[in-house]
Order: sequence, then structure tokens, then C-alpha cells
Amino acid sequence: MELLTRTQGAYTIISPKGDVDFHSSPELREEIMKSIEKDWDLLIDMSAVGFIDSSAIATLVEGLQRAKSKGRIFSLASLQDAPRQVLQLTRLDEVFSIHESANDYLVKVDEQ
Amino acid sequence: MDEQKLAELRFMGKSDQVRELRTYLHHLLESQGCACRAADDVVLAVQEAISNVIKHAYKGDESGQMRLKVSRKANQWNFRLADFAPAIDTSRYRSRDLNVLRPGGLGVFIIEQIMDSVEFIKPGADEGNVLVMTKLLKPNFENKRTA
Repeated sequence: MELLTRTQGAYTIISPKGDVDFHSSPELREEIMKSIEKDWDLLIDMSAVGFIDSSAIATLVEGLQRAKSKGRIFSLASLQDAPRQVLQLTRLDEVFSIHESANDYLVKVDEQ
Repeated sequence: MDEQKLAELRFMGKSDQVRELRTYLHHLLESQGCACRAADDVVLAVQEAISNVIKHAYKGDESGQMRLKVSRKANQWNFRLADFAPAIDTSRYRSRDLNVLRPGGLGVFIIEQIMDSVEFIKPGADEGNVLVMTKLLKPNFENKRTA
């Protein structure tokens, strides 16, 4: 997995590329926690992620909880089918704020 | 119909080997007529079982060896995952309550949701723990989840 992190407005956008699994999720977790500690809102752009497992889910849930506790926004965007299925299977698709497109969402945020 | 042995894979818990196994398994399932979504699900369940072996049987040691045997009898697929670690306490291998939002502990839930049966069986002479997962998969049909 590769990670690309950038900022736009009040957001940090983290874009993992590849599979987020038992092996790679600690790296994503570290990046998420680092950004939350900097008091940024977070958007996880999942467009280049084809596979996630329960470790990835745990990382995202922890990120969501930590962000909420600091009053920050934590969103997911551009989910491919397989990761979306995992969120549905674990009934977390309604817990996360999920946007169809990371770019469209950021354009909307910029316009507000 | 006799049971068809489709694959026997020996691998370590290292990232590249597990990733290759996922890709191989997905191709195997699709080549046997499984719909992509069903293949996605089964690969996820096997991944969760492998992660559990690394975490609980090998205590995080990714160099631990595993063996996955895949077989099929008509529409019933069997996935037999063996490790060579000391025996684990299988009574602790259980799903958790999803109504509590907290990180972690979803692996067993995912396996149980996807597979039709999941059980530890008596290991062979050279084996530590053996998990057998069974799934009914009809060719070209979507996987029907019980969730």
C-alpha cells in the first residue's frame, strides 16, 4: 500500500493506494492519527483501494471515534465495490459519512 | 460426485505471500464459475482466518507457516486452513456484538457471515490448529449472505 496525503482548505485528504489489510493498516492508522492530532478534518479517498479487511475497518472506526472526540469531520469517499461490501457486511456503511466522489465533495466544501 | 481437490497452498504470513494467495484464490473461484462478488467475499473470509492465525496462533510472527487446502464437491466448497503453531483456545474464537461501535474484533463476525459453516477440527499429526470453512457457491450466481 502507498499513501498520499495532501491538504485542501480545512481538510487533510489521505489517499491509500492498494490493499489495506492486516499488514498495511497500521501505516494508514498512523497517518490518520497524525492528521487528527493536527486538528484537521479528514477525508479518506478510497478510490485506489480494491481490498479492505477487518483491520482496515478497525483503523477507520478508530479514526472516526478519535476525530469525533476532537470535534473534527471524518469522511470516506470514492469507495470501490469490494470495500463498500465489507462496510455493508459489518453494518458500518451507515455509521460513516460516505461520499460518492472525493473531488466532487471537496469542490462542494470549497464553494460553501 | 467425488470431492475435487483444487489447490493446496503452503505459505507464510508475510504481506506479499498473503496478497498473492488472495489473488490466486480469487482467480481460482472465478475460473470455477463463481461470481466476482462471491469470490470477493470468500477471499475476505479466508484473509480474516489467516490474520487470526498470525495474530493468535503465531503471536504476530509473520514467518509462521500455513497450509490452505481448497476442495469442492458439487456446489460445496471447503477451505481447510492449517497452521503449525501451538494449539490455541478455540473457545475464545467467537463473534462480537456489532451494536457496540469499537475498533477491532470483527474478523470472526465476517467469517461467520460469509461462510455457511466454520469449525475447528482435530489437527493432523504435523499440524497445530485446523479451521475448516464451508461455503455453498452456485456457479454464476451471486453469493447470498445471511446478514
